[in-house]
Amino acid sequence: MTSGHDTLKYGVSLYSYTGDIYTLLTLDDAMAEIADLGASGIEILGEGNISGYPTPSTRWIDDWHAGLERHGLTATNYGSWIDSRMWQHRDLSVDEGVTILRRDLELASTLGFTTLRPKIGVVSQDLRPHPIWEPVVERVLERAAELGIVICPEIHAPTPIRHEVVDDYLAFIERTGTEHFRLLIDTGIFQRTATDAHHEGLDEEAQEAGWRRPLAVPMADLVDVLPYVAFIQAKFFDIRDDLTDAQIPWRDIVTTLVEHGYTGYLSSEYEGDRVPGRSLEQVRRQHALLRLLEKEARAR
Amino acid sequence: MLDRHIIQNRGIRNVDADGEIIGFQFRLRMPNYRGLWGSLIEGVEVRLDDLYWDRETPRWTLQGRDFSCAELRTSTDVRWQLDEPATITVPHRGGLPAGVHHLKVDIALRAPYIPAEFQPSVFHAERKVTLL
Repeated sequence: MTSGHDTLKYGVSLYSYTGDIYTLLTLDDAMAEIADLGASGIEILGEGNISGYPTPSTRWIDDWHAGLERHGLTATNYGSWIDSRMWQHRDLSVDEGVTILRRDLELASTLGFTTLRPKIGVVSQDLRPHPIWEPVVERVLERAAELGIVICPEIHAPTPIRHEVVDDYLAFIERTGTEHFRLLIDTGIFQRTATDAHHEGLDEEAQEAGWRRPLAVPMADLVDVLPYVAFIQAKFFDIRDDLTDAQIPWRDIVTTLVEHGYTGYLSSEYEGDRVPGRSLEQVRRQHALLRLLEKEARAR
Repeated sequence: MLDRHIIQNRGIRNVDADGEIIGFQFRLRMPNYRGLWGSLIEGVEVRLDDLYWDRETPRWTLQGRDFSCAELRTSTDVRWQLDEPATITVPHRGGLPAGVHHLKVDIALRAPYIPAEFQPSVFHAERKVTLL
């Protein structure tokens, strides 16, 4: 359970429950699962978990807030998309990107979220974002500030921290002086050994290129950008019966976060095999592991 | 709630138009982890027993509206949500006989945040379905 000594905050992304949510469990069941971990944060995918997106009913919005209240949860990060290749005959324009991002910011605010992750379409194999990202984000920064929401694109494998994509994001923060644009780290970038978890929808070549190849970003790189990190998605694939994870170096990650004073969220992102019900067990294991490691790090 | 299986148990039936059976229908749950705008749907390849229809042929009913594959690609205001099944209509004069059939689908979806070389994402599902 969380106590006054904890400074890391724990949450779960509903992404974890892909396939199980709306089939084996309702949104309310998912909230109950998260609350039972002693976690405080719920992260959602706007386009996944809002019934009637992008125009949910007043009833749905009221139920959302009632659910948070009933289960003692805080809305953390809202996942959004800027689908730059929305059509096959043309790309999204800057104006259209602004309309989409602004709409998600307003929805996120209505639902009580404080960070928003826009997933931006890419134009290259090493995941360079479509160039509309910069003018689109710049045009909504003022509104994000009014709403108290930090926009944070995710640093996700196969893009490491030391990469031009991250340099460009940091340069944007520098140039605009904004406090409402930061980074989101997906812990998949720290993966050290291959996973055989099957990523549905992708062929063998794509799985090898992006999702199985361990990037093994060193902790020193995380330390360098930590002052700019607004949120962490605790990506993982498999935690074994003895609470060990062969892919993601949790002891190193938690120790680094504790030593360098990170006080934000670790939000579970289970991305292992989509066997019915497995996500629920795996998220519990991850929370047990993370709490033990935090306790251990603070006892040093 | 929906079936855990992508191909839903409910909804398989022959389609009657003005007293003539013009095809059959079934329902699919969104196989991706988020809902999508209709323009990101590439189509669905369908195999039933020894019959086959390519990705372009089946029609889609989403949010109560009917679309061809080509219409979906230029659409701007319709979604396939995680919690709303799509109804797929396959043209097949005379329809299917009552009984158990082996249905296979390959659902092709586009994700702009994945390099174009690896797109579309194709989700396979198959199961036995029973037509009454």
